[in-house]
Amino acid sequence: MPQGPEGPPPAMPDLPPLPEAQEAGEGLGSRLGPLMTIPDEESGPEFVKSPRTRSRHKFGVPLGWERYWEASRDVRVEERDATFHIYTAGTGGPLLLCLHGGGYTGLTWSLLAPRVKDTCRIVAMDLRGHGLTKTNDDEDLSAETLCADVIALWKALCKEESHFSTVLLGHSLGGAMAIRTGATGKITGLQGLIVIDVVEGTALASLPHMMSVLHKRPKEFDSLREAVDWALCSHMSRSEEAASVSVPSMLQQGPEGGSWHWRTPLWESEAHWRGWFTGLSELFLAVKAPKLLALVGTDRLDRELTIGQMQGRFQMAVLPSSGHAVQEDNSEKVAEIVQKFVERFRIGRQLPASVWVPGRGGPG
Amino acid sequence: MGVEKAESPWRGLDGQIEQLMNCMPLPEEDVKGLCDKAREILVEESNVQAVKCPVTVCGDIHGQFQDLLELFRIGGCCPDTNYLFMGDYVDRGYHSVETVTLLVALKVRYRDRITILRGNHESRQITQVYGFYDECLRKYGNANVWKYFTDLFDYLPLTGLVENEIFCLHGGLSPTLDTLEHIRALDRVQEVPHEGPMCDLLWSDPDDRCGWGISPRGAGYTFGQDISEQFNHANGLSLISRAHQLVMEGYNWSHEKNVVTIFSAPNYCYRCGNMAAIMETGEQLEKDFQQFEPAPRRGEPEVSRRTPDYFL
Repeated sequence: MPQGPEGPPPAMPDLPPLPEAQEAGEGLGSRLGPLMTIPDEESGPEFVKSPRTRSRHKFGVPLGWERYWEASRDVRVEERDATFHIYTAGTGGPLLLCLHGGGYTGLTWSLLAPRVKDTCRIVAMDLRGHGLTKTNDDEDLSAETLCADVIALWKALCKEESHFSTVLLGHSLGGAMAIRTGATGKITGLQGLIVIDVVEGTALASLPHMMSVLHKRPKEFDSLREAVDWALCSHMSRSEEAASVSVPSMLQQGPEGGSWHWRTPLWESEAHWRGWFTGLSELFLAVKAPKLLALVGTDRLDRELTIGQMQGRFQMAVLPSSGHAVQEDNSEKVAEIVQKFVERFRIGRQLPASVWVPGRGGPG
Repeated sequence: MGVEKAESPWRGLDGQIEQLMNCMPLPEEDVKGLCDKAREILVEESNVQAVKCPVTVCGDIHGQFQDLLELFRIGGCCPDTNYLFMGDYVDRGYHSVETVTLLVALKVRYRDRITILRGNHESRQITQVYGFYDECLRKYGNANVWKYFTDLFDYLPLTGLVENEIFCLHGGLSPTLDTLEHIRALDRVQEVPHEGPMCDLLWSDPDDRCGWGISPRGAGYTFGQDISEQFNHANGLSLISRAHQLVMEGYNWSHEKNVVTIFSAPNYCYRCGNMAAIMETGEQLEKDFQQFEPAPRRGEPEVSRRTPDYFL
C-alpha cells in the first residue's frame, strides 16, 4: 500500500484572484443544487446560528467554480432523456471521471481539479437528482439508473473527443457507483478505479443510523454563509475553501427566494440505499483494472476486502487525519494519489515491452 | 536449578523473555538495551543470511501474540526448535509490542537458533498507518519504543538461505535482481524505499501470468512461473519460500512447487477466518506443514469497528 514519499504537495498553479466576499443569495448558489453528506453525529458540536465566526472567514460564499474549473456545461444525452451537468479542466492525458457522494455535486472535486489538470482531463459530473443535472425522473436514484447514466455520459464524452483512457474516481455513493459502473465492463477504456471511503460491510452497518443522521441536519438555512458555517462546524467538511465552493451547490432557494434548503432529498431515497452497497466488495475485487481504495481508517475494511488487501489485489491508502469527504479535506493528498496512480500503472500510455499492467495487455 | 539460573549471564534476559511470554511489555529502558544488543548482532548478518536445517519457517504474525505462542506450542519452543521468521511482526493485531519484543529478545538470546527477516511492515512509514506506532504511544506514553524498533528494523536481513537451497524472504523477486550476489550487494540499512530492488524483495507477489507485472498493491512487481524457474535455476535453488499474502489454508504452493507462500496469522485481523501454517524443514530438507487455528483468547478486546458517521 505505500503512501508514497512524503514529499511536498504539488505546487498549486496560479489561480484567479479571490472574489470579494458575497452575501448569500447571489450568483452560482441560486442555480446549484442538492443535498449532502452527513456530519459527525456524536462529536460534532451543536451548530448555533450566529454570525460570530464571520470575521474569521477567508473565503467568500459562494466561491465560484471559475476559480477551479475551465468549463461548466451541460451534456445532453437523448438515450437517457437527461442533461448532465459537468465541470471540466485539463486538455491532455487520461479522462478522470469523478462521481460525488450522496447529496454532493461535482463541485466537491473543485480543489482537486487544478492539482491534477496537468496530468488528466478531469470531468466531474452532477449525478441524477443532484446539482444542475436535469432528467425525466430525478427521484430514481437506484444503482442501476445511476450506473446507466455514468456509462451514457462516458460514451457521450468519448464521441466529443476520440477514445479516452479512463480512470473512474468516486467518493462514498459515487465510489459505489464507480465500482458498479466499472464492473459492468461497459467503460471499455477503463484503466483505473479509485474509490474514496466506501466499503460494503461498513456502509451497510451504518445504514440503520442514516435516517436519524439525515433528520438531525438543519432543514434550511437563512443564507449560504450559514450553511457553510454549519458544514464546517459539523465536520461535514474540514476545509473552509472546499466547503465555500461545494456546499452552496448542494442548496437551493424556492421560487420566491427566501431560505435555502437541501436540493437532493436524500431521505426519500432510502429504498435504494442497500442496493447501492450490497455486493460491492465482490464487485470491487472483480474489476480487472488497477484499483486503489482510499480510507480514513484501516478499520473500515470488511472481511472480504481485508482478505483482498492481504492478498495484494488492490492498493490501499489511509488518510487518518481526514474526514469522510477526503477530496475536500485533503485535496493535496488525493491529487498526489491520483498522479502517482496514473504514473505507476502507465494509464493512457503505451506499456513498456517487458511488463504487464493489471487488466491490460502485456509483453508477447 | 535455581543456583544455575542465578549464575547464568543470561539471567536478566531470561527473565525478560519469561515476562514477555506472559504478554507483559518490558520497560522502555529494557527495550532500548535489547535493541542495542540486537543491532550488534544483526549488523553482522548478511542480506542473504545463511541458515542451517532443520529449521521451521514462519510467515506473517502481525501482532497476534496469542497466536505466536500457539505457533511455539505447535512448532516447539525456541531454542529447542530453530526458527526462521519472514517478517511482518507488527501492525494490525493488538500486541505488536509484545510480539516484536519477544522475537528480538529471542534473537539476542539465541542468535544462531532464530533468524528474523524484514517484512514490508517493518518500516517507519507503514507502522504509522497500521497500528504499531499508535500501540507504542498507548503502552509507553511516548514514541521512544517505536523509534528504537524502527531504527532496529533497518538492520534486519532481507532474505535467508537454508542450506543453499531454500531461499526465504518476505515478498518476492525483483526484475533488477537476477542472482543472490546482486542481493548481497545491496545496502540494506535504510528505511524500506518506495521502489527499487529492496522494495521489491519485501513487496512482490507470484502471479499466474508469465513475466513481470506492475503489482496491483502499489509497490513491487508480480512475477510469473518462468521468472521463478529461471531464478531458482540460475542460483541453484530448489524453492522460494515467502509470506506477505494471506492464503486461506495457511500455506500454498505455486509455480509448480517453485514457490511456497506461508502465512502464520490465523483469522487475520480477527476477521478473515483463515488457517495459519508453518513449514518444518528437516535434516534432508524434507518439508512438513503444520496448520493451526487461532489460540483461545483471554483478555483480548472483542473486535468492534466504529460505525462511520455517514455513508451516502
